Amino acid sequence: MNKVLLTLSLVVFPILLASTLLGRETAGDYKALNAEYQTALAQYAKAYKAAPAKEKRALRAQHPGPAFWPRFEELGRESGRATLWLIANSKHSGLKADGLADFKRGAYDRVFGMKNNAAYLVAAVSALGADARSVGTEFVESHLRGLLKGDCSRQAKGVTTAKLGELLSSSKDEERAAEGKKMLEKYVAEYISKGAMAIDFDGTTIDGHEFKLSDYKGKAVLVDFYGFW
Amino acid sequence: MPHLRELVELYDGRPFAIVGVNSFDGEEDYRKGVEKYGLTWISAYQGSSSAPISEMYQVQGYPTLLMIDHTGKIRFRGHNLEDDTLEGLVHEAEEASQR
Repeated sequence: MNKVLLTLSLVVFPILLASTLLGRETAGDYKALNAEYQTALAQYAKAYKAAPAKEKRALRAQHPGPAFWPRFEELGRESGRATLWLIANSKHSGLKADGLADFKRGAYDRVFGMKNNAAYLVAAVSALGADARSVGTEFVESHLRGLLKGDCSRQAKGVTTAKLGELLSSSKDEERAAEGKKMLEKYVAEYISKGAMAIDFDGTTIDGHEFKLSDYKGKAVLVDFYGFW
Repeated sequence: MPHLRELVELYDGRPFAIVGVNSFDGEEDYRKGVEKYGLTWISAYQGSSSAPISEMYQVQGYPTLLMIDHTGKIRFRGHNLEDDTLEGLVHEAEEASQR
């Protein structure tokens, strides 16, 4: 085990040290910080995979999440993406049940309140939709309804319609369930069926290259949903 | 998959693109698959545990194919490729660019 831990510390700690010495971060640094985190995470995953079964438990304490948490937190005051990172990685916050739910609600309020959140709004809506159990369905519903009334991209409107439809259709209240069902039908007909303008999506290749479906406008496009399995 | 590779050659130089969206392959399997099937076009990789783009499009079975015209409209959705439909869309895209 010592060997594995040593390898890990040799990789993770110099990175942490170097960035501490470099001083305070600003909102624009999200990409750099995240790249640094992904590197540390990949190293951790590699060491974890290679470790014998009985050592895995102890190794878990070496997960880079908690060490990176304060740095994303600092960045999150100005950066919506960093705030989304905090939400997605909240298990590394050290917060428990109620504190965690409060933290998440505050974080979502911040993300949706940010002025220039267009680039990550869809990611935020997806995260919120999946988080209903933690932050409460009323909280989710109120944000989603707010977005539908507001001014956002067609892609964000579509994803919001789908998420709100899903949420409402599982309601015990008949009227709300019917409203949800209608929203889901609207989403299917207007965004993903034959005859609809295709809802845009953001893709990332395995090597980290980011693209959008809409990059191919002007061409006939064959979209292939597939797996090699 | 081999058929898609032929399409790349068939429509070489014409306004046509394939956009793959891989769902549920682990990284190793994915890289092997790309090699084996000679996948040269762009493909989103979603990892092995979740597939947000497939979910967004409510993909139920694989493969699912969409043909989207040059304006962004979905003109076909199904599991089997319709060569004539595709040829028609590529032709439309050419006409539009010459206008």
